[in-house]
Amino acid sequence: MAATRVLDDILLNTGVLILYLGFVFLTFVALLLARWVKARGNIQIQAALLSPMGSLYTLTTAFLLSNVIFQFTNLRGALTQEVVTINKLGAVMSVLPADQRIEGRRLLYDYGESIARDEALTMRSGVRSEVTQESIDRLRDFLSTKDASPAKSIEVTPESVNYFRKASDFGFDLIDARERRLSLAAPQPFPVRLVLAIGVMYLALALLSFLVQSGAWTTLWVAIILLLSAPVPAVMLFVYSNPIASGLIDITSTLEAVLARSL
Amino acid sequence: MVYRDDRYEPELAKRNTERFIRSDKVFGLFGYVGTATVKASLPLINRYRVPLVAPLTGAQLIRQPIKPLVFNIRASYHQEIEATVRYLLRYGRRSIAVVYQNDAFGRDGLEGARKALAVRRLQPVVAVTVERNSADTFEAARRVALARPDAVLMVSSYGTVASFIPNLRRQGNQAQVMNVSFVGSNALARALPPEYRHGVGVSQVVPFPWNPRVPVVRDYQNTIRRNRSDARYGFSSLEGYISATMLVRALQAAGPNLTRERFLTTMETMGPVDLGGFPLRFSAQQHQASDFVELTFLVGRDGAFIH
Repeated sequence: MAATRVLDDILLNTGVLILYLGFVFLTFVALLLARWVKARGNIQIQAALLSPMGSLYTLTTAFLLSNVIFQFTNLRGALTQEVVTINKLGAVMSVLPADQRIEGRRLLYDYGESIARDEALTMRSGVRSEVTQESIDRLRDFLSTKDASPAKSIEVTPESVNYFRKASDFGFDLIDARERRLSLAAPQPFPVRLVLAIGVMYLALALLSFLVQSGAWTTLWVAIILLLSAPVPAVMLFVYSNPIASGLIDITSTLEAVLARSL
Repeated sequence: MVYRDDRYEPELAKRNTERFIRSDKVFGLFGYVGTATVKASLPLINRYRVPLVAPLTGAQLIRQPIKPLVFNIRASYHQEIEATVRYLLRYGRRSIAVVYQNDAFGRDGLEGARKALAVRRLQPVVAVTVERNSADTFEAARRVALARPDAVLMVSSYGTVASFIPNLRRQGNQAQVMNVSFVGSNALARALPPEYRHGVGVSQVVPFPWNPRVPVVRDYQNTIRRNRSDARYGFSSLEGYISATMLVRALQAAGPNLTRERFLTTMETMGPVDLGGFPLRFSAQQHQASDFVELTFLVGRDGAFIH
C-alpha cells in the first residue's frame, strides 16, 4: 500500500518528465532504425510522404487536445457551479434571524474553506477529504433542522419569497456540484491506448523524417526539432490523466475568491 | 479637533486628557479607546466637568452606576458576551474557557462571562489572564488547551489575540475562539497569520460595514468613497462615523450659545435619534444609546467577514 502511494507520488510529480523521456527514447529508436535501414542499402522514400504522415500525427494529438479541452471546460464548469451555489446559499440565508444566519453561513464557509485547504490536496490523488465530508454533513444537518427556517413574521420580499424551496435546492445543488467536481477531477488510469496511438504515430513520423534526410547536420536538426515538439503531447497526456494534479485548474485559488468577500 | 495617541496606555491617556483640558481648553472629549485609559481619565473628567462622548469601551465601569458626563453609544461588553454565550450554547459548545486581559477591561469581560454562564448554571472551564499589549501567550494557551474547551472567549486586544490563537492551534486545540468588539476586527484580521484566520469569531456593536442595505452603512460607505478612493470599510471606522454623526446631531440640537451644561441637557433630552437603521437614544437614566450586538466570523485567508 505504502509502495503504491510512493509510486503514485513519483508519477504525479514526475509524470510529464517520464512521458517526455518516452518521446526521447522513441526519437533515438527512430534514429537508430533509420541508420540500420540506410546501412542495408539504398532506399527511395519520397519526402512528400511526410505531409500525410504529419497530418495523421496531428489528428491523433488533436484528438487528445480536444479531450483535454473538453475535460477542462467541464471541470471548470463544475467548480464554477459549486462556487456559485455557495454564494447563492450564503445570500439566501440573509433572511434568517441573526444567530441562525451566522451559524448557517459559518458552516457554509467552513465547507468552502475545507475544499480550498484540504480537498484540493486530497483530490490530487483522487481521494475525497474526510474534513470536507464532515463539513458538508454538518451543513446538511443544519439545513435539516428548524434552525434553517426563517421567523414566521418574515417580510415577503423578492429575496425571502420561496426561501424554503431555494435553500433546499441550493443545498442539494451543493452536493451535486461536489460529486460532479470529484468525478470529473478523478485521476484516470493510464490511457494505454491513447499513449500507444500517439507513441506509434510519433515513432513513424520520426522514422520517416530521418529516412528522407541525409547528412549528419540535417539529421541532428531533425532530431532537435522532434524533441522540441515532444513536450506538447507529453503535457497533454499527463493533463488528460491527472486534471487536478497537473495544475490545469487551481481549486484553492478559485475557492479563495469566494472566501475573500465580506458577506 | 485636537487628537493625541495614548498608545492604549492609561498613564499617557491621563496626561493627554490633562493637556486637552488645561492647555487646549477643549469643549468636550470624544472617542477615547479602552477601558483602562478611560478609567485613568475619569477623575479629570469629573473634576473639570468635561463631557466624554462615545468612548470606545463597553465596560460597566462607565455604565453602572451612570456617569453623568459620559455618553456611551455602543452596547456593553456584558451584552456582547451574553450574545456570544447564547450563540455558543445554542450550537452545542457548553465547555467555555475565558482568556482575559489583566486589567479593568479584562476583569469586566470575565465578570460578564461568569454572569452569562451563571444564568445558565454553568461556569468557565478555566479562566486565564494575559497581559495588556503582550504577545507572551504560550503559557495561557497551554493552560487553555489542557482544559480542552469547546470554545474560548477572549477579552483582549488584537496583538495578544493574534499571538494566542497560533499558540493554541499548535497545541492541537481547535476550540471556537470568540472575541469582543474591542479586539479590533480589521486589525486582528491583519495581525493573524493567514492560516489561523478562518473561523475566528468577533461580536460587533455596529451594523456590518459591507451591508449597504442598512441606511447608515450606505451613508458611511458613500462618505468613505467620496473622501478616499483607497479606503477599506471596517467596524472601527463605522463606529467612529456613527458616533461622530450622533455628536454633530447633538451639537446642532443644542443650538447657538453652546455651554457644557446645555450640551449635557440636550444629550439627555433630545429623544430618539435614528441614523438610518441604527436607532439611538439617551435619557437621564440611560447613558448608553444602543443595545445592538451582532456576531461575525473571519473567513478564508484574506481577512473577510461573514455576519
